Amino acid sequence: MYAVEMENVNVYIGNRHILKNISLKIPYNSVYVIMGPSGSGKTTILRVINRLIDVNRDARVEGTVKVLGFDALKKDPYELRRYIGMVFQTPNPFPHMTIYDNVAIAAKINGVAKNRKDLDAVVRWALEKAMLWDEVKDRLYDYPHQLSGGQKQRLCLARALAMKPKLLLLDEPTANIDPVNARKLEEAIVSLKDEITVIMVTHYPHQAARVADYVTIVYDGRIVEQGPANQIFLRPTTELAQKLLRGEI
Amino acid sequence: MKASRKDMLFFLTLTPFSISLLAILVIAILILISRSFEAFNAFGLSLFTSSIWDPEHSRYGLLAPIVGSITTSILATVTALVFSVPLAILLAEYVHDLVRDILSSIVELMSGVPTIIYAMWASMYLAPILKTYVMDPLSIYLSFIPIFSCKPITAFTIFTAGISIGISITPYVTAMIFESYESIPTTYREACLGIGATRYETVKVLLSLAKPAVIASIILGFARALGETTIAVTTIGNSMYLGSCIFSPGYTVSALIASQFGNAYLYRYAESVLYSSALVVLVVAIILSFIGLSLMSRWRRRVVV
Repeated sequence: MYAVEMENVNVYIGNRHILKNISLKIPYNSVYVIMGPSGSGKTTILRVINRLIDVNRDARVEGTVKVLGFDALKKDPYELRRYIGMVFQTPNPFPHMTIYDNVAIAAKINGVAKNRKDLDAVVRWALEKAMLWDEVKDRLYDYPHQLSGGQKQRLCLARALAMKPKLLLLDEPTANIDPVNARKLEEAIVSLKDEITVIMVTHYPHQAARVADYVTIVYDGRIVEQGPANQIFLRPTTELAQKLLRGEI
Repeated sequence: MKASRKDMLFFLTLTPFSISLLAILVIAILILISRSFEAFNAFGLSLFTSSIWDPEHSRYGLLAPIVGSITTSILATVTALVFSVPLAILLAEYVHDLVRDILSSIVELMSGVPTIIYAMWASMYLAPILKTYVMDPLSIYLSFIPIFSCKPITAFTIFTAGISIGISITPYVTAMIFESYESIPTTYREACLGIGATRYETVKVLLSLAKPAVIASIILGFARALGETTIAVTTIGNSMYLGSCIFSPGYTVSALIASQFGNAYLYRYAESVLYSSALVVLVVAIILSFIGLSLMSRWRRRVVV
């Protein structure tokens, strides 16, 4: 059993063929990294998994996508997303909510907490998991604009965790934050895999090497190479993968 | 000619038009102040605290039309809000692109319809319907509430004017709320979906995010309702009666000016009193518009940019 199974997935947006015959299997409780240069279709893979692709009315998905045992393309997308948290490239905490409320909203929406005491516990757990608790515990009722970019991104991670997802999608979560915060986020990601399956998109090979159990390399909408992280980093078989890992693409 | 000189010439050509617009507003305010002086001198504060309107004996009080203006504007704003928020959400979230384009074009078209059309429709069709199906039953069954305590003797009342003005400003308020809602960056919508929110929950979060913009739209809608004249003068009944019941005829300041200005020269102080009432409306409308626009731009800076 896999957390995500894709078979011959093709995605079209209008007339553009974005993903071409993508097939991959993502084991439970692993950190699965999707790498590739900008515009290669990495984010689209994530958006197919949680059906956020549906937001684009011109998008068409073909193939088989199984997520947590569900037929993702047939299941109600709102129902499917109850199991899947997502953190985006640009930190997007809700600016009108306090730090506490930003995390609590996810727990409330998904019925994770039954009362205020439960909610407090979930918020604390999520902030601790996102390695943000120590920095914000005395200012939970401040607004996110008072946080740094990296703290905002960890707040978004905490928000995604507060819904107690089975699957966590991270779309280049460290792209817009400083190296120190990026490291903290990486630590948080690695510590999560005992409880959650993590799928992360990145174009930093070093970052992938630090966190990944499995790696898939995508180029121009196709999978170029995939397998266990050690194998991909130590013995890449294709020239494209070698170039990408050397940072030449 | 050098590029910088051309720029300067272009700038000098544009400037007078921009300045003249501001100058018109300043001149209008100055004229209103100078023409109001006589009334302010003669009546002082009692001009705003008295509800007596007796031009033949030079006794003037604007309390009734001021209260009428406030009441109709509140009713209008509530009416507009009741229609605008659901319509804006429907347009933004639930309808297909084609239907949205058609509906939003209709909304834009409606905001361009001359108010006399609304006024005629309201006086001929809406007023009798409101009297029979809303005002009469409410005055019977909810007469213990002071605002519903009188039996409507005519269909032209403060309530009718408020509802009619509300319908006329609905497209304007809807357009502002829709535009604000649509301008919320996609990233927040995706943030909602990314934590498993349903469409309803997403709307709730996004609407709470747009709350300052909705409040700004309400304030701007109120300012517009305050200045609405044609519908008010046609549907309010034009009576100087001051009471707590909204099912009685009344006056708004704008309706008072429109209906009395033509004959005001016949009575001492009358013109000056009307100028002073216009000054009040203008100042209040400017202040409300300033607050509304400031709120809106502050919200845009914080959320949209």
